[in-house]
Amino acid sequence: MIRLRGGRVIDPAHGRDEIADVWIEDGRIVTPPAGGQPAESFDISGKIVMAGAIDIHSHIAGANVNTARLLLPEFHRAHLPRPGATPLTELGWSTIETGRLYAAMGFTTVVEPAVAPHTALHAHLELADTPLIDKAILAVLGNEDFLLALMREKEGLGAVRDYVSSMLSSSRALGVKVINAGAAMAFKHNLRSFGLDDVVPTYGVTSREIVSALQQAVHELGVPHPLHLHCNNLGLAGNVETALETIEAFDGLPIHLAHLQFYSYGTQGKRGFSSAAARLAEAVNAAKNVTIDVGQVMFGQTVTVSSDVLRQFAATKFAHPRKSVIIDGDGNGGGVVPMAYRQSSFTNAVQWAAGLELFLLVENPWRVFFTTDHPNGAPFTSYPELFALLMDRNLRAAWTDRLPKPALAMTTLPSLGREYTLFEIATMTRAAPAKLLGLKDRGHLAQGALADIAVYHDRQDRAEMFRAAHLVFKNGKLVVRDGKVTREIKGKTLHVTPSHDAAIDRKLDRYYEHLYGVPRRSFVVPHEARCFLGEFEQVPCVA
Amino acid sequence: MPGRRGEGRHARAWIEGVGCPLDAAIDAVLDHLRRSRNPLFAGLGCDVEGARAIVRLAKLVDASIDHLSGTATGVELSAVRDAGLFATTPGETFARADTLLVLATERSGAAEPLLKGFLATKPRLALARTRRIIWVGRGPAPRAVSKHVDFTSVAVAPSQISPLLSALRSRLARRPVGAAPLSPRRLEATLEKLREAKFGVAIWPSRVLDPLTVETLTGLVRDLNESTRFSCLPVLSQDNAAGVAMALTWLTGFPSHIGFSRGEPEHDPWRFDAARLVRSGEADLAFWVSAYRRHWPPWSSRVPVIALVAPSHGVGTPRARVEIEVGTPGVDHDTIDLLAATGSLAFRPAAVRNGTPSVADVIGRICAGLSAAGRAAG
Repeated sequence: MIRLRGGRVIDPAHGRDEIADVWIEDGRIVTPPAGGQPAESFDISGKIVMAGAIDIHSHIAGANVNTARLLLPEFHRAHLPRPGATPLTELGWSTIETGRLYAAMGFTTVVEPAVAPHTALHAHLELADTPLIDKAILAVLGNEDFLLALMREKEGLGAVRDYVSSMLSSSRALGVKVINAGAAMAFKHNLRSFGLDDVVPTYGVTSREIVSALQQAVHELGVPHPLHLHCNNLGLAGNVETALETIEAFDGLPIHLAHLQFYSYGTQGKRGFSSAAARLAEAVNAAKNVTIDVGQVMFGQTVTVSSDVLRQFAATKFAHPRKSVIIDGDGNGGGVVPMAYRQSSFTNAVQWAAGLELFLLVENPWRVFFTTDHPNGAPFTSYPELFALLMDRNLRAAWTDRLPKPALAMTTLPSLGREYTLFEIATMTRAAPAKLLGLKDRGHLAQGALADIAVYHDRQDRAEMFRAAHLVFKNGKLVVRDGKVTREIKGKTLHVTPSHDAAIDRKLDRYYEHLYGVPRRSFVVPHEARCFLGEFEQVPCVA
Repeated sequence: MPGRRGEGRHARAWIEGVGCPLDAAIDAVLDHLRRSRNPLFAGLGCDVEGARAIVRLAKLVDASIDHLSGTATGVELSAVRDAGLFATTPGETFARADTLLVLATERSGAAEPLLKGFLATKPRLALARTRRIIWVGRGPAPRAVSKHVDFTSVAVAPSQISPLLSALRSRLARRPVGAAPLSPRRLEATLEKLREAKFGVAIWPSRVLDPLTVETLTGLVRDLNESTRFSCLPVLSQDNAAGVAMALTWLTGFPSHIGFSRGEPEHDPWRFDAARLVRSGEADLAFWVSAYRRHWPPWSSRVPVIALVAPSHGVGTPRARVEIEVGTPGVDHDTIDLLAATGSLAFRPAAVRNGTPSVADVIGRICAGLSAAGRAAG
């Protein structure tokens, strides 16, 4: 039994912010035993105790991420004798470093949000090699011939539901992600832009119809995590209209909108590019069914990794350095485009400010999540700086002083005085993500919870505080001390297995043989492969 | 993972050419590794599980890894790293490509089955009823071509592929070209076919193109995408070279040329080049892994070699200081490796499962031996 004595326990899931002890036994949090003696005791008075943090959207594994590693050797710390100290060079960039760096910040669960089902096995191999944290993938659907043909033939929602269930099971995913629905297919037909009501050539279905069918299927299957949506028109001036239309389309239905910062752009000003984050935040505040993550941009060199192949193709013109990989995949495909966000750039400054506006203007911390859309807005190692910016208006002012004034004039950021509290940070990084993903035994510190616990020094410099946790426990085992990994253990991979009519599997078997001339078993994560993949844990669907 | 699937029952091993039990061979390997100042791991013809084990061992003994020097996969990866790529999958090519630009030589190797498939089928997801194939280099026998295929042969010598691609790219940008491998009329006709593609794919088997030609081709494909859709399908070479490169990339950040002597992985294509390490004498022991077929590096006689190799079946004699026969992935043991038919990593169950150890099994035992010795010494 382990006792963490006298820390300030911040546990928003139970409304707690108090000085208390936390007891651990057999990897779980237990009630203080009457007269019980711990085998080990840590005096953490004056320290902050939170559950292990959960990242709902971070591209840490899979074929596209691996291509990004391949493409950018020159930004790897080990490649350069004297690398610049940027978040990307510090990243390490291997699965092993990913697990260690997350753990050092007190994160214990991370979701890789974009895995094409056909390459799910690859992603799971990488996740099995990512130590210390628990992991999950979201399966990307919405651009593959099989689904679009089902919809074209009007086979009904039941067929879509069975298909979604089968794909979730065969790829061992925790949920479904849709990325620019229909656009990757439209791009194969040489369309260069694709909006919510555009029709996919030869299939006669619109993006709106695809997203709507998948939202309903996920909901009816009882998958705890609502459909995770990457909207159309990412990154374009004026795309706030797309985001607003999308919110309106899901009136009352549960949906998660990913990296909304990239959709918060208006067309005001002489450059025709402005922040419309305030308008968007207002719509989010009014739509209680919607959750969002931000996809904050932080300045510096990074690389964008996205299955939005149409968008990534357009972005190749802005690649820095000037090289990209564009993949026409079996479904979504994707693109890897290096990107440098510069403080002196009007556009990048507006993007940075728009992200912070979203954070500060969305009122309910249970509905807005921390992401930099790693590595698209910035590497995940930038989170501590981001927490600090949101907790301190003076720090924000110091940053904004260095930005181009015309860019700031296109945002409301300078007028926002809100400062996040530790309780809000804990809500957004612990309690709310666990609730959003349907993970009942984590994200909180009550009896029975998994003993995933982060203890921080209560430092004035919040970035410093969150960068290097004082202690981190994973499954009740001490794995980090003062930001250094002291013990490397393996985490699990979380997934759902909804039930469906097996007829869809027989249909899929025939389909793969017919279309590709390859058996379907070459595209799935088979049970027999489990000895290569580490431990899985099933998350129950809602009845 | 060591110790599973009854490994060792059918193992065959040799020390200095003399047959011995597997345990003795492992002890001899441990002895060599302990005495080595700078071991080199090369070849790495193995599955993903083998690559994982090799990285574990390389870290334990501060070794260097050169997986790709002088291989076709190495050529392709270096071109991608320099210039990027448009790529697609074999599945999309099979189902959607209405135009194929095939860059082939006489030996298409691992690409053969894929190319046969493309020649024999029409693209089911394309609007066109036929598949148009522009075959640069020596083409297939006429009867191999289906009636659904509109076949054009562009017979040029392998050395002329790069000038041809350059000329096509120049003409696409409406720039004049001087001497080209094709007459102006045929050049324009070929270009027109590429332009007319709705979803075209350039295909080449590994070993055919040098890095600069790959870069020229990528440039041509990029330019074609200004007005239509075009992509590339490099058909990767044998021995799961690309699958191992993928695994090394996620495990260390790099596909090859990795050193662990300073703790964290370092990448340097010159410092960690196998031939250079052997020639200069920096590497005093080479660990050669070739589970898919039995072959040896050109420098194998210049350095003591420990070899994990495919069975000889009585052909050839042991050549290494310590030689251990390992099973063929997907035949003797379950495996995950890169499937040419999908372009992705896939699981393949053992066809025979006869107990011959896998690369991962053998290296797992070596790692266990090193750790046990470490504990005893500590």
